[in-house]
Amino acid sequence: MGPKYATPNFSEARRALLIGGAAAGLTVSFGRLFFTPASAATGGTLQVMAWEGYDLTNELKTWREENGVTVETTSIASQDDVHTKFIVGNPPPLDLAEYNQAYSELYIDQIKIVSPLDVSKIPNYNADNLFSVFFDKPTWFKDGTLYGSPYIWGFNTLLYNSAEMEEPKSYKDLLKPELKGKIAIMDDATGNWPLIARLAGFGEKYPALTKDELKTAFDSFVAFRDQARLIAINQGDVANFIASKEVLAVVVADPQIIQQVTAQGVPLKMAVPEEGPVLWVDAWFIPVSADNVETAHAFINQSLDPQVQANVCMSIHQAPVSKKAVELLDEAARQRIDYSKIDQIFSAGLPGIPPVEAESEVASYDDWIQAWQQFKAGM
Amino acid sequence: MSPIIEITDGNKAFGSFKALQDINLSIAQGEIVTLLGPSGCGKTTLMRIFAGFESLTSGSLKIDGKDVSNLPPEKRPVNMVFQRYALFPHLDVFENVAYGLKVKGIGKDEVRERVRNMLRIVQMDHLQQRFITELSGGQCQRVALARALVNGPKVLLLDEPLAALDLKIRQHMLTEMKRIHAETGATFIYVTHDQDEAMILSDRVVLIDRGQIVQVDTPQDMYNRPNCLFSAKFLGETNILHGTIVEDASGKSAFRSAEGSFHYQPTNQIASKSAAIMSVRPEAISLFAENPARDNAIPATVTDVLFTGSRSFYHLVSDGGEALRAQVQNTPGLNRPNVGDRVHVCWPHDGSVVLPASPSH
Amino acid sequence: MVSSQKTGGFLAAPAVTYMVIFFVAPSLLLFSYSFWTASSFRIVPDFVLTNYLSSIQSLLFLKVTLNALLIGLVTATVSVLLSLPIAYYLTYVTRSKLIFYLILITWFSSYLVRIYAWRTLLGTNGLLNAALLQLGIISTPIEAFLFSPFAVGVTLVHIYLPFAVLMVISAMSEIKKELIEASRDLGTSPIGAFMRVVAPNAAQGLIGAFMLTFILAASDYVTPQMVGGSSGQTTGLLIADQFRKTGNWPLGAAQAFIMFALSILIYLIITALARASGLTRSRKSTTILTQDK
Repeated sequence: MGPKYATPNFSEARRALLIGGAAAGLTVSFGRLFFTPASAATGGTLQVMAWEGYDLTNELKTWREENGVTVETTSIASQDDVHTKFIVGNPPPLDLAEYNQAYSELYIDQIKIVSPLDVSKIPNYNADNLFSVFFDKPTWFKDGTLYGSPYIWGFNTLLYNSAEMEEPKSYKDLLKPELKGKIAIMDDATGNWPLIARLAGFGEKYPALTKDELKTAFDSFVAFRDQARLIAINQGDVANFIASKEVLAVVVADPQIIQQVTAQGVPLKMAVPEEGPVLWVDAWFIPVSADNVETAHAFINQSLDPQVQANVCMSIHQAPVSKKAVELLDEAARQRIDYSKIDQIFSAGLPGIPPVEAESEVASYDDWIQAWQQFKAGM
Repeated sequence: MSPIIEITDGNKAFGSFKALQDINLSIAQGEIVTLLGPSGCGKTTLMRIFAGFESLTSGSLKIDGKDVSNLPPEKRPVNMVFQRYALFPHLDVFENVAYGLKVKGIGKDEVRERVRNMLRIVQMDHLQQRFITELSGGQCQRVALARALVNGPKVLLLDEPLAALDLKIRQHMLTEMKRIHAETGATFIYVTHDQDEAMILSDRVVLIDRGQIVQVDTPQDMYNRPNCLFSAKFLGETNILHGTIVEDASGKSAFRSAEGSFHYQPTNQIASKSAAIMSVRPEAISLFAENPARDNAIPATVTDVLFTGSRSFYHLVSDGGEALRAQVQNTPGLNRPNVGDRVHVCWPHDGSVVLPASPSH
Repeated sequence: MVSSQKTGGFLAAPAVTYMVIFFVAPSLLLFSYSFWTASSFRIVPDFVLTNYLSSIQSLLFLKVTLNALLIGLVTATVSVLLSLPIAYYLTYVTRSKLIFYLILITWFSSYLVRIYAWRTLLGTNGLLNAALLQLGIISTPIEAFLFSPFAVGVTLVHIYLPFAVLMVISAMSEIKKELIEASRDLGTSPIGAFMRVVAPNAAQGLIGAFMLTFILAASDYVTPQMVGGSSGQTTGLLIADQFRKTGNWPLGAAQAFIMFALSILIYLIITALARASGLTRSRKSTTILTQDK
């Protein structure tokens, strides 16, 4: 099921300007952290930030009990929730957090909140267990050091009510007159941006578009807004509208919604149009402010255990990074993705985020955010 | 001339509480009539019924010959002076007084003239621009009066207007009101619980007790000839003796009590042998050092003397144990008894009123 | 210091201290941030006016701020107007507090539940459209009931009306019933009494009620976002995004203070209007309305 479309690999890193001489005062200063030496044994409390359902509450229950580990999770509503915690002074004593691959460079190189992982403590991280697209890849593995441990992946794509419309071959099929007022757009900035770029023909350049290209891209995306009934703020929101049949398709969304909707009797299916899906991979990282480093490593190791991988993927309807987990998936889960073609799928490349500090012509992260806000405001 | 206010068989109930019962009253044009009674007797309710803020549960009310049961306050030819003035804080004195005229749409010039005239009458014309926060109680009172009168109402209702004023100002305002009444010729209906005000001001007094009219009379008649125990005790002070009516040797009626037998001027028919009470005003009593050998004289001991300048009040206890009060002018030259002295208490035949013991209203 | 002043200071001290520590100090800090700059999710001490200038010149900012102000003004106006008859009834006409409690009870329901309730009511398949279709007033459902300024107005009024009612009742309670009776005695109808006596005297309180409702509604960015569609994007959302998504706290702070200044401006305009129309007047002023000496 590989998409026909190919983008350059994410490893083509842009040059991001490092902040020259951070002025005195309230820059992120990690020297002020309370840094207790890592305890020798696994156990104690683990502060985790993860997406809801991704923190392995059920899957690692036995492990936690056996090792005397208590996990305190804070839910993420968007990736920004993680790094904005580190903006001013005292960062929180977070032991473990997820991050989306797009933010890899920002986290590791720019705001430097990621501490290196000790691979020896994560035996499950090996070439045998992991698909090759995840193992020691530049997104997470730099200069011989592993910073993030890939954990789970998926993709967002077009979802449509198969009873009311035909499978779209292109996203542009959603612009048909009979669908006016019947589609939804997710208010998920980073989820939509790669698609917005591709629809305007700038897919290869994403995330480094010029300001003019940014404007052009959004101007043409306005057509989708005119077709839209709403810009939904979360999955539950759009699921409600699909279930009530006010909305027949979502431009790009997590296929996880399908479960909720089909349970209400509406046949929601996913389509992978020619412009391709938007891939994402979540990885665990240990923030520099962590104190229970030992247990964090153990947790990561557990998260790569094939059975645990299979269980969590079946639970939240996403895909495992572990090869061995595939056999442990049930029929329904295995049918979602053709794992034999995984290399092909990933040749589409993992989208990044626009640069936080940009050279004059290039549209920065802030520029994209502003464009998205303007889009939502009807401008 | 037909009465300006006529209420017939008026009843007012709030739920199960009967505020007014069987009210029949006729008020003539130009009168000053006072509704007098203790707190809670219903006098304010009756006034509010005249004004239109309450309505009768049954019975009829006519103002100037017209039935007003469906007429709201704003349409009645009646104006009210409220107990706490109810002046508008956002308007100055002139604007307050002019309010009613402006509401009627009267032209600016006429308004100015009438307001100025009325302010002159109440002697507030030098304070036209003031706001009420800058006025004293007495000044507020005058403004309230002016505000009501300037509209030329047929009836002016005054709801305990002097209650919040000092004694000296009150007395002054009473005379003022009489003067203003004479000058304007309106009918005044005055509500108060203060009997002095009622007596000074009124042409007639309507005495109300627990929702019913007890007596309607001029102040003098009500004072001198109360028609029941309540009237006797409410207006002024009095001594009450309990006894029975008997016929003495000469066939005249006499009042026999524990103190003795007393002769009196009968004003009503009370059957012989029936229980009765005798009301004697303190000022009708004279004190004698020795037995004056007259009718209606009993011995007593002085228990207290209250000197108040022009008069003295004596508290006495008769030999029979009855507590009595006497009031004597401090005329220079007269001997005055002291506490502990034995005196004889005496009053003339026409100095008392005898009433049936059972309530007559 | 007079002892009564000392007592007063003593009693006020806890609240004032709390406000100083948790409101005044952070606000001052935020104000100083508004002159800083940010890069890569770090904020940098500086003294520049770029945050203010770029916001004022940004079409997006102007549009969403206009949205917020309009939402605030409309919600406050409708809420206060609707409150007047209810408050009048509860203050002067009745002794029963039943209706009062009924209004207060709506506050017990969760804020978000109410928003979702309105989304359902106003949706294409919702109660409003169903009723209108049944009655034959329309033949196809009106989509514009939801994700429109109409939806924002209805939902916000529903949320803030009890608040406005409480404040208007409080303002009216100060006007004694006697003043209305006096006015009627002098010839006005009950409505006339309200317009000529209650309103002017309650004006200060009514303005207070209006302004507080305005501030609450104008800064509420959750409701407009959820039911307002593109008209529901407000400054609050922008500010929140600066703090959550872009890490540009200085810009967010500047935008917050621009909103603050605008709210004050609106308050000044309203009090000036009230004074000009004669609704309120300063007691000390000698410029009185009509008569000559």
